[in-house]
Amino acid sequence: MEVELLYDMPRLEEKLMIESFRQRGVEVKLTNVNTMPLLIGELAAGVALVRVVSMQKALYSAAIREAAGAIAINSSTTLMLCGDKILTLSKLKAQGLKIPRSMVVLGAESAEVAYRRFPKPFVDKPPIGSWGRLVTLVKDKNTWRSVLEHRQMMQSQQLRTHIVQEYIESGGRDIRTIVIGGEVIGAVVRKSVGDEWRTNVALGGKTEPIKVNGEIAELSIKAAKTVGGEFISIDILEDKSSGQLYLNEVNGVPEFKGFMEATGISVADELAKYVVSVMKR
Amino acid sequence: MPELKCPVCFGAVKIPDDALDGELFEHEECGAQLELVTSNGSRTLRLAEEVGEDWGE
Repeated sequence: MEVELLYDMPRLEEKLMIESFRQRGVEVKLTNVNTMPLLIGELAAGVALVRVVSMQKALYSAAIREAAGAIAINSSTTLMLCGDKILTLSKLKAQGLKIPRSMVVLGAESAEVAYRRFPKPFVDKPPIGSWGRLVTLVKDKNTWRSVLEHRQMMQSQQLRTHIVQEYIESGGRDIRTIVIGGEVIGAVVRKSVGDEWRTNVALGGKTEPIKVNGEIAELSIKAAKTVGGEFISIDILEDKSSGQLYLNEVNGVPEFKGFMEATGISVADELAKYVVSVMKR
Repeated sequence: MPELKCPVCFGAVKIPDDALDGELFEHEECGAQLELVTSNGSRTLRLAEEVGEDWGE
């Protein structure tokens, strides 16, 4: 059995995956997409595990391998839906799933309307990116003007696009679950640290394990199904006063260092087990 | 653990035996973020690309 692992910047996660596959007797064909051209229609292995940090490169890698008949995990459709938060939120909403009230600002005039319509503070973020980059808590008009000016200077249309989102008072915490093959393997709560309001582990957020209750599990599985994801992490916000859960983000190339440390769950092993089961189908 | 030369300060950077092509290392002495490049069986370090706008999960 052979699996192809496509990557651009190997992290701890990819190294653990390689180890987990090798322990199961699965040969891992490593493809650095920055140094190896990808021939459209060339089959490298039956399963292509896409672990590319650049969203655009990940999407292309999956599509190219799918063109040859490989099963990409995750698929190009999933990576496209997860890689753009406007697409993710739209899909989740179409399925009737609860998301924070969100408005998309595509031009300067609509930015003014969005500011008037949203209670302050609100969250502003671009549709692409991760690790909390360019995510701003807008409390007043001066901050909003600065955010608009700064982002208008950026080259990419996606970074000049704003998602204006209701701020869910979650007490500086969010819930992260990981779903593999339609099952929730565990959950952590991520807590912001110090005067940072964002909970991203990349920004120092701390993780603690939590029990996966029925509501969290159901929401996570539905979110994964909505994007067609086989290996997905899901960020959920819980309103501190009402207890209402909101789907915030769905990640198509999940990182899991913090999750693994907090829960002791070997995500790489769980993934390898699942991928082997896919290869045997 | 092999040592490679930092392209920024020319100091020595220790690289684990199981390091993969494309892996990032921070050179503690000068703080540079470096990427391992493997070409024709030889390994070198180059200054890593800055975080891309679409990088992430």
